[in-house]
Amino acid sequence: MSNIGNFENIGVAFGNWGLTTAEPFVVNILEQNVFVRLTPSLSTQIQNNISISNGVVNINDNGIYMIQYVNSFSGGVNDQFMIRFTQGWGLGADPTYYIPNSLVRFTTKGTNFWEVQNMIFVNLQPKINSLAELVEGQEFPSSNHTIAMEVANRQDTSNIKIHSSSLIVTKLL
Amino acid sequence: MAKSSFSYQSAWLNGYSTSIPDVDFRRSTDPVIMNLDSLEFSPVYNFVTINNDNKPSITPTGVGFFLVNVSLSTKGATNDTIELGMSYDGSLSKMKLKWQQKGGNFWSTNYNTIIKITTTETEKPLQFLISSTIQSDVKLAITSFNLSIIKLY
Repeated sequence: MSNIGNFENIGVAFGNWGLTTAEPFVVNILEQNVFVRLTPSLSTQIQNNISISNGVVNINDNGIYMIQYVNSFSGGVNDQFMIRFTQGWGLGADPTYYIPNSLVRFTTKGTNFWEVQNMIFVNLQPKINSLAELVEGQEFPSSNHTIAMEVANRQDTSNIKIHSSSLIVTKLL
Repeated sequence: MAKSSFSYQSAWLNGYSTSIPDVDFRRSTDPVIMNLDSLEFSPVYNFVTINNDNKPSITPTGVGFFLVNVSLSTKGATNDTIELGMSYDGSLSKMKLKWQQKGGNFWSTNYNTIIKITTTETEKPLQFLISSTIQSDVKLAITSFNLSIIKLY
């Protein structure tokens, strides 16, 4: 047996989470066009320097990250759904800001499965609204970030079922 | 300065085949190990091919964490719900992909996971397992299989 080494404290960051239950996870959609968090269904396959808690992925370093996922869905009655990622700035921040260009639209096929996959790069950096925020004595903007995956139904309030899911976040730089 | 995952990149593989043998899970819901004998690799670095219990497979030569991506297209197996997963040394990844077949039509989908390789003993294989939730009478044909693996650390 070889030792993988001391990787925990040198900034190497990656994580893989997914649906591990035999039964599908139902995302309840109560309002048309309103995004609902999808990630609470996910459990951990492996993670290092990135974690997931209550469906929110916690990232503790600035950088360029690769996000990729594969989900299989059923539900709706030929409804058009949308998946997107949101982000928050700071430790444990509620990720409510839409990550630009992360939106994917798809139409479900009733009880038939439909797979949706995507891969994006995101640049997670401290949020600075203006130079005036960087005054002496004020805390420097946090390098902690949060992200989450959300789903919405454009045409109806039909729920959607997740039959399998895998989300991967890897720090590239 | 924190180092990135790919600072330690030292193994990668891209494999492709359009002639993987049909997956014969007829009359069973048990997982079937895919036969990767026909995979052609280019590029490949620090992986070896192995024959584990007459199931040709691959394995890395070093320990670490590996990002695995599979893009495959299939046909056959009626309209069964199919499940694809992978294992290393008999230990299953928690990640599964489920999809439904479309009979004679091609269906293309993707699978991904990160796995931990814990030993340099290269007789321990990476394997892909496919099962059906229905005891179908029709084999699953793998019309194309594209596998990429890269070491994260």
